Amino acid sequence: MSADRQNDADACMWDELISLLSMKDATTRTVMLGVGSLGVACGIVGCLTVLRRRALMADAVAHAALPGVCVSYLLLGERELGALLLGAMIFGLIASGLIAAMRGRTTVKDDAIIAVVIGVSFAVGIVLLKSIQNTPGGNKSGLDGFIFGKAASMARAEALTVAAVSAALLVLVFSQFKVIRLVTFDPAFAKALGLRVRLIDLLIISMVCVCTVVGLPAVGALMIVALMIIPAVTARSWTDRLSTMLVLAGAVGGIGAVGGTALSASVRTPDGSSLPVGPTIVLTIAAVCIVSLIVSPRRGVLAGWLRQRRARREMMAERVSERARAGPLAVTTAQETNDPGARP
Amino acid sequence: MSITAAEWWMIVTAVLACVPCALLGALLVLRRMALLGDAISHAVLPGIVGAFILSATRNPYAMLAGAMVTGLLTAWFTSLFSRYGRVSEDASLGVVFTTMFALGVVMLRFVPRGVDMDPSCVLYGLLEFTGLRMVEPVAGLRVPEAAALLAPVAVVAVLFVTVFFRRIRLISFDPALARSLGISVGLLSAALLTLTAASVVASFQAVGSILVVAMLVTPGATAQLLTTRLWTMLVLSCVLAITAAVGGCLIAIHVDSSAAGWIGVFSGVQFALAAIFSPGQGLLLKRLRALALRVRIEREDLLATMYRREELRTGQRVDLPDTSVDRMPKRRSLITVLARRSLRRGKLLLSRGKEVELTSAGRAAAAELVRRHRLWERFLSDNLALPLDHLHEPAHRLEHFADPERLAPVEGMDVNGAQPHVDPHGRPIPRVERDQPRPNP
Amino acid sequence: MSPAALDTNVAVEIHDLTVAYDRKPVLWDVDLSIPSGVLCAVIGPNGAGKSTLIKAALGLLSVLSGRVWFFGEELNAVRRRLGYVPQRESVDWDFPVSVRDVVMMGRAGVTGVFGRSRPKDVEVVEQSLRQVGLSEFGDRQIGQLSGGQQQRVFLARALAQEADLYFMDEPFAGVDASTERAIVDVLKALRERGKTVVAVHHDLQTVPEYFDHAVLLNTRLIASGPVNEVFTRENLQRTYGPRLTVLEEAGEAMARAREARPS
Repeated sequence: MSADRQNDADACMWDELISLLSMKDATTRTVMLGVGSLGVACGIVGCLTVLRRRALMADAVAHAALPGVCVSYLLLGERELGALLLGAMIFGLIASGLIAAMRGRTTVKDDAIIAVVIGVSFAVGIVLLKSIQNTPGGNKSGLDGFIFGKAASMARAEALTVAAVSAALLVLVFSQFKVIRLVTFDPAFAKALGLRVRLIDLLIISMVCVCTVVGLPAVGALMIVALMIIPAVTARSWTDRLSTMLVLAGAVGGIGAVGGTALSASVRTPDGSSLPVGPTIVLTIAAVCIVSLIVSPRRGVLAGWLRQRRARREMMAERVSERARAGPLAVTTAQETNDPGARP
Repeated sequence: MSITAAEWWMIVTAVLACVPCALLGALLVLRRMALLGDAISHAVLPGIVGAFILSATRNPYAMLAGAMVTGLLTAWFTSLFSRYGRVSEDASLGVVFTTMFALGVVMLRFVPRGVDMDPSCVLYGLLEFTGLRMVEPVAGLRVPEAAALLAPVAVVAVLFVTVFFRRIRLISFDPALARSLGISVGLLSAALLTLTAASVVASFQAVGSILVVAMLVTPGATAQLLTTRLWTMLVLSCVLAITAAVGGCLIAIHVDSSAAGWIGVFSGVQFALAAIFSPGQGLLLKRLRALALRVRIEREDLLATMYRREELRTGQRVDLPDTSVDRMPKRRSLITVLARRSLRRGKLLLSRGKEVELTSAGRAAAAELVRRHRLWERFLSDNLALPLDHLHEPAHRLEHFADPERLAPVEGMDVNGAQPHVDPHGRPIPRVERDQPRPNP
Repeated sequence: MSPAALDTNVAVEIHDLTVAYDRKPVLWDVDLSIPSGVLCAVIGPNGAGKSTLIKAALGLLSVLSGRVWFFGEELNAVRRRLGYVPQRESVDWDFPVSVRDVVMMGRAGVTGVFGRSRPKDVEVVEQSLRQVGLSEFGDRQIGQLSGGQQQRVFLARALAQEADLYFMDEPFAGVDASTERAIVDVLKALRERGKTVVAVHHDLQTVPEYFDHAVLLNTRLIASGPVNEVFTRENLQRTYGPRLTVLEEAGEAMARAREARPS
């Protein structure tokens, strides 16, 4: 490939990226509305699951959605989006219910149960998908789009639905903000106040299910959990207030989703096709997240490392001066008790 | 159903893929690192694809090396973020492995044309095609490429776990103790993690990325439901994995479907069955045991009530307030029916027309129960100084489970020597002839 | 219902309370009553069921048997008159909330959780912060406080509840001397206003100094009453003496019986 052609290709990509982001075209606007509002909703709901330490439970719910889609397709024989998503929703709730029901009942720990649900429900999904592909007839194209998502083909009605659902979730979270914050922070105290902690927990996990389900056609079952966890972790590294964190996570999710979609449409692979949307969105948000985790002034890896180094240096200086002050006998005892090797 | 040679190879490959995964996965389950297994199986994707793009061939060793790099990077990034970045461990894991997986999927698009690597193969694996790609590692022995890669990994994994079994048990159970005994916990953990990553990568081609998760964790979790001993658990998880591999492949051949998918479903079914029927922890057996217990309690209550009625009738006992005299159940529930039937079968109870009566064996058994009850009341009153109105309920619950003659002496109560003859309410404590074998009520 | 239960001068009346975790008995047939207007210490060795007593009374965990009345009424009727200080380790201190947010949580039961905080709530919150000496820390994220300060945040939150009866789970655990002093002052101020405090306490030395009522617990109730009556050498020996193994089996038996009970 000559340098000129390479430059042409680059220029072409940038032109396309800019034209997509300026949203002159109606189809682009539709898709961007869809993925953008999905990103906002996922980011905000994700904060709650991350703070309640249920981040990977959301992954189990998302994986369980896949067999849900297949089962409702097998039952109805049509690719009716609403019905498919209802199936996904039901399976997601069943998965979270199963995990909750087995918690503490046996010697198998939570994390293993979650991993079993993730693996097995995906296996069930693949078997069902295969049997759907083996049956003749029916409009089955695009079912495997639920795995990686097909945001580019989002219809206007779909985008509007996603936007409406996201708006409803936002209203719910912000109207119940105090209760949700209380239950997430200190469930025992909330229960002592007479609040229905289980109901709020169910509400949160249902919101996770809803996010998963509306995101399924666009981003796919494997990637949706990233849209929940990554913006939350990003936002947390910049703020110490829950309200700010929710807004930031929503913004990171929304902007990342729009940016990732534009990027996926404008970058061409060697064989001329575009990048898969879901993974590209995830990578866009992850880039923001990783930068945040490294450079954030209070909670970043860099700051943490510097802080630890400074503390260690101060401690060493203190010890040296202490030893200088104490006699030789005290030095040996200090070495015995404060041997740095004893504490890694 | 006849099985072709290619299908035989498929089953062998599946078994070779499942055994090391299940064995090392069981250890992950035990060490509460199940989700790290999940993460690694997602995160090896970019390594495999990267090696694939760079070498432009399906060189298994390049892919293994690439996957090891990304797998270990995942573990490293996760601990970096959670240690210095103050992110909770599961969230940090979630960030890293989803990002890695997304990276892998995007990189797949940059794989040169004409090379058979596409997202569906990444997800479902190529178990069905194992028979098509044969190699000859030893002269005269033609085996599928996947099996040739998996066999050494499986052997090494099994050998490693067997040889280091005691140390592995120690670091799984009590890492602090292991460290104090001079065992290098970090080194052993790293070795196990590396082996796990190697098994994941080797199995990847055969069963696909997501299904490796099912292979890795499910047999171990199922085994954990069935046993409490580590050695049994490891052996059991291998056995479960082998049956799942064989069973899943056979079903898939029969219905012409994804073999890897069916293996995952098969082990899911194993897990569900264990969760319901496991003798130790199964939810159904717990229910059944509870039912049996209720029948026994009902039986014993019936006997004791009959005895107390006889006591009143024959004037052995003057009329004292005793809440339990009229506890004859009016309602006929499954429990009472079962209880009565077992009493009649055991010839402890006789029906005479509408009345029921104790047989002499029944009376002896009932005397034993009432004795227990009143000894418990005595004990609770004398040793715990419970007030009179607080004696009946706890004694009533205790009499079914705990024998005061065995327990009470421990707490300093003398039941046989200067035996108390009345309970705290003044009711006689029945004597039981000790030279006869005690009737089991 | 026992006659004493109707007496509103009795802050807490517990009847026949039995609790088991996983078949292991933690509380066994506990009967006690605590008059209102006292500072009451709950004392006993580790695993004696002290925290469990508080949690069970507040309905935070399921019990095998027993009933509890507060001021002669059932829990749900008087929830708003009860304040709770959980153990400090029970929450994630890295949670993104400020000190003021946490204290405002104490008002959730009063304001109705959906409404915005009224000026009165803000005033109560500021006053509670002042009382525990954390006024200038209101905007800090809770993770940036010392252990003693964190304990004071929980105390301030309970104060903001404006309850009549406070349950505190180890309020003195792991705090510095100045915080201990501050907490004691708050407790004494509460008693002067006629409030009742039931606190799990570990340090036997300070019991007579800080409290006027005591509950001695070791799975079963050893003694309960005014400190000068029950805080005797003999009672303490019984409290900290070996546990009766028979109780272990007894509690297990009761837990099994409950499993078998039709639901």
